[in-house]
Amino acid sequence: MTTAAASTIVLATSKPESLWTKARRRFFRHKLAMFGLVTLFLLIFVSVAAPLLTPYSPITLDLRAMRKAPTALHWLGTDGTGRDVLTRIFYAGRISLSVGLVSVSISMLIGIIIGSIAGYKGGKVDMFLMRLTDMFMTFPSLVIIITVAAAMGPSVYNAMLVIGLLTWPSIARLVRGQFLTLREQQFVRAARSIGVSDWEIIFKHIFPNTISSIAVAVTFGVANAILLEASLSFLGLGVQAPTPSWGNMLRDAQSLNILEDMPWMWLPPGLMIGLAVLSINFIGDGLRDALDPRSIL
Amino acid sequence: MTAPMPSKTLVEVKNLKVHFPIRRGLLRKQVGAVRAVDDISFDVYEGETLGLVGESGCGKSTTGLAVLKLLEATAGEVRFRGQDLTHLSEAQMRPLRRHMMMVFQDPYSSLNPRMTVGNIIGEPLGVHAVGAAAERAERVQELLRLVGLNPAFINRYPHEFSGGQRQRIGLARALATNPAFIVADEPISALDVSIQAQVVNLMSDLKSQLGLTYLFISHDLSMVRFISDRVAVMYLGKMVELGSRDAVFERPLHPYTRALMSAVPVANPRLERQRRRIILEGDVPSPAKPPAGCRFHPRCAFATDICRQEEPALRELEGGAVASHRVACHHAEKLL
Repeated sequence: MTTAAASTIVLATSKPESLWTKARRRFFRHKLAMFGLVTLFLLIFVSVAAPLLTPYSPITLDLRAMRKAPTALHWLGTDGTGRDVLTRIFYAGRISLSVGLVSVSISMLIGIIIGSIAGYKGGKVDMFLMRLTDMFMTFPSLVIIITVAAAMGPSVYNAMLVIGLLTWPSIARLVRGQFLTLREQQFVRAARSIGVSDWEIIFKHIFPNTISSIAVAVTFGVANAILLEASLSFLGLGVQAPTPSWGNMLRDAQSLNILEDMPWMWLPPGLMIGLAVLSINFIGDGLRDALDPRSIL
Repeated sequence: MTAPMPSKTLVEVKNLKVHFPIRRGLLRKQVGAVRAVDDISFDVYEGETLGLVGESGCGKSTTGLAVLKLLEATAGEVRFRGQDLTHLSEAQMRPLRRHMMMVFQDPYSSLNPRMTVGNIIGEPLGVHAVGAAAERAERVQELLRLVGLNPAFINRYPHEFSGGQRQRIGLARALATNPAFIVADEPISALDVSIQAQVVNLMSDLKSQLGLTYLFISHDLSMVRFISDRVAVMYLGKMVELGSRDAVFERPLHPYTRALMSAVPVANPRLERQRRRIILEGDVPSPAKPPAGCRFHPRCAFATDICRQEEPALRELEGGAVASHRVACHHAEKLL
């Protein structure tokens, strides 16, 4: 290697690009991820700006307009008590999206911390934490939720908390598994030989290598939380009756004749759940690719 | 390569044992131990390369890891510049780590795939707070140049490099803090043969340039012969022979070393035809149940009763203090 050649190349790339700039650039170039991001922003926008977008209230009944098929007045028709379905979908997004995001954040936080400590430390610590995880996994979630609802009163916040506190074990298991394999990699031993502290090894060397599976788990988690919220609302333990959520709108339409003859009542909320889950999934995919230096983007 | 002068001792290993417990049953009761390294002692002198050879599973890598305290020693002590490392906590050990680094066998898994070359090589500088950020960046480029890589590679990722280049990156990382002592654990065995020579040459150049001391672990006898000043031979967790390179290669004293040396091909075809292979019978016994007496006796052509009963100590055989050549065999005199 001649020094002349080397120095010209140094000049060409002398401005170092940080990891995050690079990751951001890759992310914005990822078409599906951008689609997901735009869709998710749109969903958030219509939920937040709902009062500006529709003239109707999501709660007030209109008994003159029950079970109307879509018209120019009610774009997506009305439900069994004459409320505008489109309006309810917009407002429902507030509940469903925040339940999904908040409860998944809670479960990620607990799951990642417990899983990484268990996987990195191994031995007795691992044993203890995993038995704890197993214990949480075996809790009958509905019983707990009913108990919590009885003790603290049913509310969206309790639903978020309970969903978060009951879904972390699967994340913990996943993260632990990743840590178990990664900590045997030579680069972890290399980091130890350099004198890197345990804490830094966990967060700088091992954790970034688990991002891809965590990203996938997050997207599944959000979807799961939105659906779990639907079941809770159905049981009357989550979102309370007049307040709409995508989940309880789906449950509204469970009689056979609605299912067969009035698809506008259940199809749109179902599509919204699907769209939300899909867009989060794409974002997860994009994040995984953007953070992986090996992917060419 | 300069002649080995028994100068100041840099690393002193005394009666080192590394046993891995075998646990069975519900209560994880210990039923035995794999004696990966079983009571070995040796010194590494400042400025020398000590080659550590032996077949797979003889405990040479374990020795290397235990010397750097990356594995906990079961017994014995390791001293670095006179300081006993075995009782230090990880926090107490940290400031010493900048003086003793390691080069790893697998150039693919020893570099974090999500870190840039600059971050990988600069990490030891950060951990030991060497210089300001700007100085570190400069140092990283200097290191890249030192190991024969383009300094512009600083923002690239490990997957963009070949095995040999990756090993150079690993070497640059090990050299970042100007260590005195480097344990190279089979640094070339995962590389192509054509690349092996390059890396070994580089290591040997760096040694004379920077005054390094190596513990060079390998099963490749010709490479060890090329780079080492002294050679230690291990068999089943024991050190069977230790001496200057020429002594060990030209006048091997232990029957095992002889068998090992006879396996090295010779470049000269006429000599190659004369080469007599000593083929050892049987397999290496399990280190969990090593044979009594001399561990080599079940496979040794010279074994007698004493070999089956008494474990031979590593003892001085020829020469004075200048060219020390030690061997662990009851019958070494007869084999001279």
